[in-house]
Amino acid sequence: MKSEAERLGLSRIISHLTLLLLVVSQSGSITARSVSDSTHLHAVYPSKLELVLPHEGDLQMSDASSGNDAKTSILITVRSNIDWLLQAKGNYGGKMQKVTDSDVLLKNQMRVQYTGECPSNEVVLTNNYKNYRRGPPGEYQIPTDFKQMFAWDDQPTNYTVRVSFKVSPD
Amino acid sequence: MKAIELCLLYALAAGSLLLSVAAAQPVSDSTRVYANLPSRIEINVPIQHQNLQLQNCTPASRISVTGSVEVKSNLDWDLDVAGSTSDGRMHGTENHELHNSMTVSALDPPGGPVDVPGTESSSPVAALLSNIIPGDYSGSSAIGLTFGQLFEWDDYADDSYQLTVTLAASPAA
Repeated sequence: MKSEAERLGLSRIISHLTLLLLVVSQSGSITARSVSDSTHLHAVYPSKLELVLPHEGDLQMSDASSGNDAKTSILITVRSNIDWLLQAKGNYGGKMQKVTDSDVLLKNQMRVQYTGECPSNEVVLTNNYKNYRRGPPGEYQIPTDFKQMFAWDDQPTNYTVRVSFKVSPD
Repeated sequence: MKAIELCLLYALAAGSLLLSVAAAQPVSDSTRVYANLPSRIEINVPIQHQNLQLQNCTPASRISVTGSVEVKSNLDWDLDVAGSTSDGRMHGTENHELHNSMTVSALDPPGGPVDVPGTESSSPVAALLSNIIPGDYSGSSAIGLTFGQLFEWDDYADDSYQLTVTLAASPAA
């Protein structure tokens, strides 16, 4: 009798275990799991450079006097999405020439200087492009002074010079 | 007399037989049929939208491209997005990475825009759609997606900016 009871008890336990396993098995299939897929995006971002001289050709040095420096200022804008180099040069070796006689030049060359944060050394203009500023990609406002020393032996008359800037990949 | 008794006996026997036949009732039994319909979610990015190209990228402009995803579900679902890079932004060659995050919007049903998060973002997934009802937006209809990217001057020019965006559908929280 005792062994029969044990057998019945064992049978009940097995039955419950089976039920439990069934429930566990079903509960595993009830909840959907997260699924995913993906999309891959590509972009070609070509290089681009922009240079804006808002006052080009319209600069006037109003405080010129013999034995003194005169200056005028402009704001140059450089936009670039690559490392860039800004260069400057002046006609006639960087010297201002008499408006009515191109053979008459000032004794000293014009200089340009960055006047923003951490002002740079002056760059003396020549016929060839000389490095002026450089930087990483971005949009930059470059406040710039044109400086001109007028010597006592410079003829008093009207002078002019064309200063050119060029921005290029660095 | 004996013949009459015999007849009566036969009649009784026949009657009881008839009664027993007439008393037989229809019998029936039943079985219960169970079905367990598991919840299920499927997601698929159509092959034509598995590789998307942002066209005419130029500084100081937002460029968009359209994609889609198909979600099938028999329960309410959410859609999350995640990026493949550490910060979720497009990466190019030579450690170039864009300064702005890519955004994703869903058109119908509407959702977003959300910034694509990165693998190391505080939350590596961003919820784009929530509690979408199966009957409304499941089946074979695709959900239109718009991927937007802002390019700025201080982003390095690069021929190969890339990002993989993973779209994950899961039961609504």
